Formats: sequence, structure tokens, C-alpha cells
Amino acid sequence: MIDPDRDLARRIRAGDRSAVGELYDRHADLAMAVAFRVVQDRAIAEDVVHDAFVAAWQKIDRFDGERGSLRAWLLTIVRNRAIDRIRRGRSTEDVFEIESRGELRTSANPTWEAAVRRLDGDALRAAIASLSEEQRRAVELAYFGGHTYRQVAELTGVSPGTAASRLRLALARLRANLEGGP
Amino acid sequence: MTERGRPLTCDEADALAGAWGLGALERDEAAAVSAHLATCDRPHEELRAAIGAGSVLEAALEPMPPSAGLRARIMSSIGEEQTPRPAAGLPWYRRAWVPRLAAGVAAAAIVGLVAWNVQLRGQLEDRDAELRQVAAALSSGGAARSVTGSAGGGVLVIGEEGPLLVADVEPVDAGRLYEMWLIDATGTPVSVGTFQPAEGDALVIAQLEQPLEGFATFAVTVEDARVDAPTSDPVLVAPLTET
Repeated sequence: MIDPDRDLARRIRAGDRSAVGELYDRHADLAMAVAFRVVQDRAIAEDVVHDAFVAAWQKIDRFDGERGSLRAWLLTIVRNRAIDRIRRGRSTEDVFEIESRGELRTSANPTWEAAVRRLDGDALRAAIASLSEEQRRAVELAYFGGHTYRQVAELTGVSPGTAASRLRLALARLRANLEGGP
Repeated sequence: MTERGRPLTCDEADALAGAWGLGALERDEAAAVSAHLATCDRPHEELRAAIGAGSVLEAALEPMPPSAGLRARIMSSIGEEQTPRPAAGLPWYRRAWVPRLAAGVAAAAIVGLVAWNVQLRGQLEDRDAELRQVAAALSSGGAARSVTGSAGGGVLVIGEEGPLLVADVEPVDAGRLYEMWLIDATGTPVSVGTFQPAEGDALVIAQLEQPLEGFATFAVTVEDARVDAPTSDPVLVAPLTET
């Protein structure tokens, strides 16, 4: 079976604008959810989503399907642009440069991608709910707040080592839950 | 934590796995982890496995539908001509965004409409009485609505005998026709006539069978025969209410 997103990426590369519309139909709701989670303002979130889809159209040559899904790539753009909106002073790199090195989310990773394909939102939320409150708070601040672990440490009143440890343990536990482990 | 600026040990790199996976490292620390992974003989499975964890966090969010106009705004920004698209659920003519989309399209078409209007006036001497009726309506300063879409463009004017569509449209395939619709605020479509461009003359003048009052949107679809409700996406649209 043809992966719909893979086919959409091919069509966008070929200059088929209607494929952007189909990409929007498939993922706009989640893109909005990601943007809103970061900026907490519906109008700004819509601006972010708009800019992200336009960027996806313009920068499709930067997308590498071998490193991850089109959906993950799109949502990375959304999240980074949303964080840039609320924290314009942060020392970010251009998202496409980061992605081109495979350091972020679009790098292939079977655990997370498989979990997203296999489980619905309720199951994923249940897995996240299994984290301790401190772990969830640290993950939220880091991922949707755009903070480094050192900033998370300051915001939560712990040492950088403790903040890094919370993030590490949170992902280990989340991964174990999603894989059906302990 | 680590002393900034020096190479990381394996344990130090592993300790940053969570921050690494969530993109929560400063640039220099991220570069140090990258350098370690590139040169270390150990697999560092935890570090590599952490990459992409954010996709789970995103997928766990409750979906949030955007407002109705966002799709059209995006498509406009990337340069696609605006035409409502089919989607699961309600047919296009029952969706709330149809009048707003039509308004946006009409605004974008206004410059072209003015130029076309001038051209139309220049042709009047050679046109028939129906066209003179259109000209009279335009010249009288009466309300005119620009109509545009993937099939072409034109204007709705109020003639002596009711509303007229005057449009420069693409020909339709043999056996097919254009059907005109008036759609009220609840999304109920009413068929108000059909037309087919004459071969070699794309300028169409078509009389609507009902006045515009009480309707929110005018639209045209391509059908195999006159039908009671549209079976395809509109190829021309115009808003009938001020937005």
C-alpha cells in the first residue's frame, strides 16, 4: 500500500499545489493543536500553521523521507515556528539546518513512529499520564515551551543534572510503556 | 552537569539523552553529543532511540480544527486558484465557509473585473439586446457581483428581467452543462438555470430564474444534466452578502 504522505511529498516536489491542500486536510487539526499548545492563542496559532504549510511547500526539497514521515517533518516546522513566536530571543538554528543533520525528530526512529501509527490519542495520552508529575512538567517545558534542560532546571528550581535526569527517565519510561515493557 | 566546551564521555552523553531527544540542548551541547556519536565505538542505543520522541507528544494532543478560512488562505499564499474542495461530511454548499471563501475570491478578482468591464463596454455596439441589457445594468451603477473560479470569471448584474450572469468561461465537454445555484444561509441550494457556452464564443449571458434576495451565495457547477443538488465542486462562485 502506498503511504499517502509519501505520495503527497512526491507530488509537492513535482509542483502540485493541490497536494498541499490534501496535506492540510490530513494534518491541519494536529498542526493547530501543536501550535496552540505552544503559543496559547488561536489567532497566532493559525498564523503559525499558515506559515508552516507555506514553508513546507517552499522547502520540500529539504524533506528526506528516509529519515522520517512528512507528518513529523511538518509538525517539526510548526513547533519550531510556534516557539520562535513566543521566544523570539532564543538561540535557535534554522529548523531545516537542524533537520538536515538528522538531529531532531525527523530522524528515523521505529519506537516513536510505530507508536504513533499503532495507537490512538487516548492510548498515547495514557502512556504520557504514566509519567510522574515532575517528569511531565519537565517534558512539557522542554518540548512545548522550547526551553533547554538548563532553563527547565531554573524554572523548576532543581539542578541542571536533575532536570536532565528527569527528561531522560521520562523518555525511557514512555518508550517502555509504548513498547509494552515495564 | 558537563563542563562546557570539552568532549563528552560516554556517560555524560547518555545523561543528556532526554534533552537530546526533545531538542532541549544548547547548540554547543548538541554539537558535543553529535560529535560523540560520530566518533564513539559504543552504540549509544538510548541516545539514538530518544530522537523523535516529540512525535508521540504531538500525537497525544487533542486535535484542534482550524477556522474555516485557513485552508483558503494557505492555498492563496502558495498561488492556487481558490475553489472549495470536497471533504468528508457536509457537501461544499452546506459548509459555513462558502460565503467567506467566495468573498475572498471576489476581492482578488476585482482588478480583472474592472478591465473586463471596460472591454465589455467596447463590444456593446455589436452585441444583441441581451448584452445591451447587461450594459444598461452596469452603466446605471446598479449592484454587480464579481464571479470567479476555476472555470473563468464574470459578473452578476440585475437586469430589467432579473439577475443575469455574464461570464467568460471555459467550454464544457460534450454532453455536459453548467448549472447555476443560489444557496441560502443554511446551505440549501436552489437550481436557477443552466447554460452552455456557444462554440467559439466563451462569453455567456444567462438569466437566473430567481432573484438574489434571501440567498448567501451564487455558484456554478458542471453537471451531466440539470440536477436538484450539486454533484460536483463549484467552478464559479460569488458572495451575495456583505462580509
